Amino acid sequence: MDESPKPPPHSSPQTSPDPTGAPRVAAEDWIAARHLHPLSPLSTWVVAALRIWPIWLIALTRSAGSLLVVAAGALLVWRFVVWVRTSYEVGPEGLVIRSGVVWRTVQTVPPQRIQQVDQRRGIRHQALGLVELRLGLAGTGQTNEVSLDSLSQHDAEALAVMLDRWRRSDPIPGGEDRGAATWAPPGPPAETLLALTLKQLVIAGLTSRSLWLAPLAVVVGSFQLLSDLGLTEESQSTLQRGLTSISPSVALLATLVLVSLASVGFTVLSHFNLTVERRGSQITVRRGLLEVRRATLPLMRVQVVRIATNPVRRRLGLGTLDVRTADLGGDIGGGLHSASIPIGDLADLDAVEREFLSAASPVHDPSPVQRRHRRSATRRAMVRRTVRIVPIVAAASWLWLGALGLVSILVAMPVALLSGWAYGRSLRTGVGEHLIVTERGVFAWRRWTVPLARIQSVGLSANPFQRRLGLVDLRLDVAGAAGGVVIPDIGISHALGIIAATTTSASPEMLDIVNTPQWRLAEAISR
Amino acid sequence: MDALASPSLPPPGAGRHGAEFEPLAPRVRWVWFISGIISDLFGIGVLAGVAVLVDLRVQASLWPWVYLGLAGLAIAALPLRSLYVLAAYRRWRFRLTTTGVELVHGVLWRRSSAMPFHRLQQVDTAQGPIERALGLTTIQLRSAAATTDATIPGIAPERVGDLRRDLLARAGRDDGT
Repeated sequence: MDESPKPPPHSSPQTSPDPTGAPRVAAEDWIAARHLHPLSPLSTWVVAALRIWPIWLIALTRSAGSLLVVAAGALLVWRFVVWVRTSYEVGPEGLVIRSGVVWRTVQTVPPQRIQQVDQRRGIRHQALGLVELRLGLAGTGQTNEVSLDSLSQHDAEALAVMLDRWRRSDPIPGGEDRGAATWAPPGPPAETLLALTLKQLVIAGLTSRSLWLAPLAVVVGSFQLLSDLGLTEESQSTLQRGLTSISPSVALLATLVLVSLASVGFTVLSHFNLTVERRGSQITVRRGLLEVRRATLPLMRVQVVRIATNPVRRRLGLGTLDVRTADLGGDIGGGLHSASIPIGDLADLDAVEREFLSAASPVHDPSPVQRRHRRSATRRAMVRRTVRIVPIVAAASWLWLGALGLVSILVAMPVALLSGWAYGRSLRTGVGEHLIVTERGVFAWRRWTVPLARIQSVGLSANPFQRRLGLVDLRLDVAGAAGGVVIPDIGISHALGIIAATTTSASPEMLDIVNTPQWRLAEAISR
Repeated sequence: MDALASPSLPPPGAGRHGAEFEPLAPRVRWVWFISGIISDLFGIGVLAGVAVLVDLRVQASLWPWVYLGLAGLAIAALPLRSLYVLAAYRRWRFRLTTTGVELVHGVLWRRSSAMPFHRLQQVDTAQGPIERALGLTTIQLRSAAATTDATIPGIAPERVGDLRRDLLARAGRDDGT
C-alpha cells in the first residue's frame, strides 16, 4: 500500500484559497494512513450476510450445508479483501478515504464541510467493541454521507476530535462564524441539557400521531390479508366465523393495545436513554438500546429548529423537537432523525432550542417578538376552510340522507368558519436581530426558528386572492435537500421587513408582485 | 457584506439598488409558445384518446359534443396560449443588484425571489432543443438550498457571456453552509 506520510502543509494545495492564512492543525497531529479495525471484516460480514438471506433460505430448505459454508466463507474472504483495500488518513487536505477492490475510490473530506458526526453502535458493534463513524456532509444529493465501518472506539473518538479541532482552528473564510472567537478550549465539561426517562418515552409512544390511524389500518389490512392469502373456502369461512364471533369492539381494543405496544416498543428501542449534552460549541445527542447512536452537531451548523405538538401532547404540556442540518438527504434520513427529541416538556424543549440556536443568537438575547399576521390572513383562512369543507359535507350528507341532509351545512359552516378563524389567528411571525420565528396551527401546533445567517435565498409568491388581500407566501431557503420554511399568508410589509433583515437586499420593486391598486387600498384600510 | 460585494466590480447600470430590471430576450416568447402549444395538444390528445376508448364501450348520445368540445379546446389553445405567453413575458424581469440577484415573474401566481451573491455556489447554463434553434440560453443559479428559485430563461447570446462572468465573479466564497 502507498501509505507514506504526506508532505508538509506549505506544499499542499488548498481546496479553497485562504488569503487570511488562518492557522491549520499542525502536521504532527495528522493521522497517518491506517486501516479500519481488524475485526471490521467480521462486523460488516454480518450485514452482508443478512442482506443475501435468500441464499441462506435456499441452503436451509435444501439442507445443503456445504453451500452454506462456501457462501459464508466466500463472503468473509471478500469482506477481508475489502478491509485490506480500505484505508483512511488525515492529511493536509483533510480526511482522505481510499477504498474499492477493483475500482479504487479516493474520497477527500474537507473538515470544514462536515455538518454532523454520528457514532453508531449496533448489536454487532457492541458485541465486538467497535463503532461505526458517519460523517454528514453538506449537499443536496444522495452521496453526502461518509461511513467508516467499523473502528475501535478509541480510533473513532480520536478521529472525531481531530476533525473537530481542525474545523475550529480553520475558521470558515468569509466570516459568519460568529462562535469562532468565543469557542471554549477542547474538552470543556459536558453539560446535560435534557435526559429522557423511560416513562417519558412510553408517553411519547402512546401519544404519537401515527397511532391514531393505526387501528383502522390494521383492521382493513388484516381483512385484506385474509382474502389475499387465497385460503380454501372451508378454512376461510372458519376464520371468518371466528373473527365475527369476537365482538368488533374487543377486536378493535386488542388491535389498539397491540399497536400501542409496538409504537411504545419502537420509541423505547430507538430513543432509550436519550441524553442531550452540550460541550463547548457542540451538542451531542445520545440514544438507543439495540443500536446506540451518538450524533454530534456543531452548533453553527444548525439550519432550522422546529418544535411541534399535537392535541393530546399539548394537553400534557409535551412536544417534539427537530433539528435540521444541511446534510439531510442521506439514505437514513440524515440529520432530521438523528438529532430529534421525540418527547419533552415544552418548557424544557424551549430551553434546548435556545442552546441549539446559541451559535446564531446569544442565549441571553431576547426571542424575537412574534406578531399575528394581518387580519386579512384570518379572513382568507376562514374562506378557504369553508370552501374546502362545506361542499364536501353537503354532498356527502345529501347522498346519504337526501335533501334533508343539506341541513348539515348549518353545522358545517360555523365549524369551518370557526376553525379557519382560529387557524388564521394562530399564524404568528417575528424577526429579531438574529432569528426568525414563525408558528401556526391550533391542534397540530408547530414553531420554526431559522437563524438569519443561515438563509440562502428568499422567495415571495402570491396568487390573485392573496394579492387582493395584500398577503404573500414567504419562503426562506436554507441549505440542504429539505429546502426551506414557508411562512404562509404574511402581510407584504411584514414580509419585506423580514427580507430586509436577511442578508438579501429588499428592493421596492420586489413588492411589485402585490403592488396592485387593491393592495394599496387594503393596506390603507388596515392602518 | 462589504467584502462580499466585490468592490472591484462596479454595479452594471444605475439605480438605487444597482441595475435596472432587464427583460428576457423577446424571442423567448416563441420558445414558450411552441413548447406550450406542444404540451397543450399533447394533453388534448390524451383526453381524446381516453374518450375514444370509452366511446367504444359506452353508448351515449353525448359523444359528438365531447369531440366537438375537445376540438374547440384545441382551437382555443392557440389564442389563449399566445395571450398567456405575452403576459408571462411582460411580467418576467430580473436584475443583478449590488448585493444579489432578483427575479420577478408569474402571471396568476406571481413570484419574486432574491439571492445574495455570497450564497451563489454554481452557475449552470442549459439549452433545450427549441432554445437552441433560437439561440437562447437558460441560466440556473444554485445555492446550497435545494429550493432556491433562481432560473433565468431566455438569455440572448450576446448577454450570456457577460451575465455568466458577472455572476461567477461575484459568487460567494465557500462558507461550508
